[in-house]
Amino acid sequence: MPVILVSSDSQEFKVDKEVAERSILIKNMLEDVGESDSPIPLPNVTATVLTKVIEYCEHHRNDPVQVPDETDDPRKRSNDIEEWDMKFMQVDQEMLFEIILAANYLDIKPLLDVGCKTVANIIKGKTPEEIRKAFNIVNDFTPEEEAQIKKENEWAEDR
Amino acid sequence: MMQTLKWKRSNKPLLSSKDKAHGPPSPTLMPSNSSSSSSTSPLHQPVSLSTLSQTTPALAIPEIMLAIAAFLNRQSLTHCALVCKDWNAIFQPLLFRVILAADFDRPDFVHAFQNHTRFATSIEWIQESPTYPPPVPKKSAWHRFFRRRTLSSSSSSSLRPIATMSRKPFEQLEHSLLAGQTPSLETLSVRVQNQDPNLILRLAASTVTTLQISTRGYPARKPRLYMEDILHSYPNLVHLTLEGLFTLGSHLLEERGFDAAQHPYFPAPLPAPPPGPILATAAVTTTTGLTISSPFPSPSPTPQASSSSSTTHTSVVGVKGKAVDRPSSIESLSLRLVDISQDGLLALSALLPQLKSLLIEEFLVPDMMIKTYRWTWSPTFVRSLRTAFPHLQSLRFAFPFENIKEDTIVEILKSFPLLTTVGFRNAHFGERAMETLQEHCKFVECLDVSFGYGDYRFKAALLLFLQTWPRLRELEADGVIFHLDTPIDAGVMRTPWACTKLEKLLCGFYGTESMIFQHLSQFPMLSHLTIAHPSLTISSIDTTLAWMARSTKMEYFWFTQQRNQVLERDTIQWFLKHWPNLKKLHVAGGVNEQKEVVRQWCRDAQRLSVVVETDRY
Repeated sequence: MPVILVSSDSQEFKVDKEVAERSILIKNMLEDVGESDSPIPLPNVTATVLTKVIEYCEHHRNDPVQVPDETDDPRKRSNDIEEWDMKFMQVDQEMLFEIILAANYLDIKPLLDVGCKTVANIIKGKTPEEIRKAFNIVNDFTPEEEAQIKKENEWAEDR
Repeated sequence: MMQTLKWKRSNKPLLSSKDKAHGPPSPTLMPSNSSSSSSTSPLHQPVSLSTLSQTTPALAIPEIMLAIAAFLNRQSLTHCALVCKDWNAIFQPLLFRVILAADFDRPDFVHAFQNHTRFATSIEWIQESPTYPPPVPKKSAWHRFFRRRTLSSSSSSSLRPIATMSRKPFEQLEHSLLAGQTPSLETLSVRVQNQDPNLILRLAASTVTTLQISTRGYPARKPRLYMEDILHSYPNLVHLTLEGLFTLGSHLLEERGFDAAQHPYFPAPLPAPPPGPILATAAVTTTTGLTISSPFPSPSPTPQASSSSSTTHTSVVGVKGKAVDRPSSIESLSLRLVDISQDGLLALSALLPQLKSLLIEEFLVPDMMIKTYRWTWSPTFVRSLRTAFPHLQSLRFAFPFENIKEDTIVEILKSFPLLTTVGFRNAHFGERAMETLQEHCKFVECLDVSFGYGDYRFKAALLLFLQTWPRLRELEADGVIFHLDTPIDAGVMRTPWACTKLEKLLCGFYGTESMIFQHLSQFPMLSHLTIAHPSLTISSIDTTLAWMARSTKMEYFWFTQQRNQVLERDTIQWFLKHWPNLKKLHVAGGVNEQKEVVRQWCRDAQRLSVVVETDRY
């Protein structure tokens, strides 16, 4: 049964209910609304991003629902991204973040995880300067401040 | 000593939900925290909207940064902390989330750690014993959460216990707290295993107003903790909670010996200052660290404990006999399993002249031995109690195996007419006590008479009380089962209860589920509800739960489920829909696998913070 999603720029997307329900947000909306054909507005997601998100959900439509890991291990692995997902995430950085934002808003945990893992992989192994370059971030530390932080955190460096 | 960075200071507290203001409204998706009831991330610091939000808005959202940080190792975290100020605010605290004993071998870590602890407002330190073999063998690692906001709710953190009890990290915590001022530290909660609680006094911090010391087990001999020592280390305490198998005493008592009849330690009778305005506010509960109302003067620069405190309380007790160091500002004292004699308690009066709330409780934890208080509760003792602590407004006692006799209860109630909270669990709280309460304690708002030995007549008296006492806000009557199915209960005509402002209720009922919920709908302010009897199925929502659609303040709901009955999804969804403030759902009995299923339903409904519990047994 199809569901109609409307992006922020008023483009309509027809998707199967099962696919749409990979998003918990949409799932709940559908339950509240019940049997109705009215389109679901997604004011925070543009059409290009929504296309990508739907693509992801289509591919993963039959995945079992994840139960979040209860063990609170702060250090998770990021080297276990599926090949399809990896290719899927080969987009420019702006799109990458848009997807993350959309996954966060739509509450699609697996997609959010994949997105975050991808970003984590970009960060890993880079020096701060390289990270700044990668994300186009301005360094607002003075050299003294930077040196100070570096010194403070020296202990963490060798791990 | 490491100079603190100027910009860091200005970035401090006032943590509101400012950080949620930008970005699309979304549920917090914290990968590791979805099942804990309180946010345990050391985070939620304000991240200022800088140029970051223009270039990459995702990076300006702390939740997303945290989600990303979950996949980074420590080295990467340090690099991230150097990228820019916004990133630093997020990543720097994460460096201290997991700490290994070996870390303290590096002096530079110690400096950083000290700086970090120095600005915390609340520190919770839990030393756990291993309960499961860790997946990756680690050296003794400690999990700690340093929160940079005031503790708003008591939380047992969802810390993962790993390996052994090394004292070293504790000593390091101690060093860093003592190395300099801790201008923001207000709440300190420490739990240790098989150690002497006096250890915790070494953390001395004069800014702490709420202190909790818990011990599990103890070393060879049962430790003794002295109130004077506690006050010496924490001169500005307001709330003190002590739990564990140790003895609480006072030097005063030991040096002088003590005779309850003569009480040389009691204050000279002051010209009857009224014990303060009647507080019709919330009863003091024992677990939360309430924020204090008066600001504290900045602590003196000497790191070692004895800073001269200027307390904000004006009445200084003149004491005959041995002079007390300083009048303490402690208002609430909670003792669980802590050994204290009657004389010991009375002797504390000189040290705790402002005491408003007292709780003494024995509780059973699977690995701890049962204790029995051997108090005689003589009328003399009760009178002395009254003289010792004239400001008491809240009294709660719970002794599973030692019963307080009704005469004693009557005596106590008569002696403390200003009580707002009265709790006598497992006691002979009977008809006479009930009547005394109504006659003498006009301000009672919270009552706990659970597991009592009350009979038919007690129940009648309780019912009459409920029908005529509009002030009541909390009632715990576990063991009492009210009839809703007959016009007369215990000889009393059933009429609506007068306590429509009830916020907390624990009791049982006889009647159909429809009757029960209809009855409960009289209390729209209910936030904590426990239905001890009967077991429910809640099968037809329209006739049952629907009655409680207006009880939107509900936060905690506990009921017993019928065995082998599966909770319907509709039921859970009803809860989630109509009770937006629901934090904890406790289902006793029923099918065990259900817990996961119910949790999933909660997650589906984006209510990640609802804690679903079932009984262990």
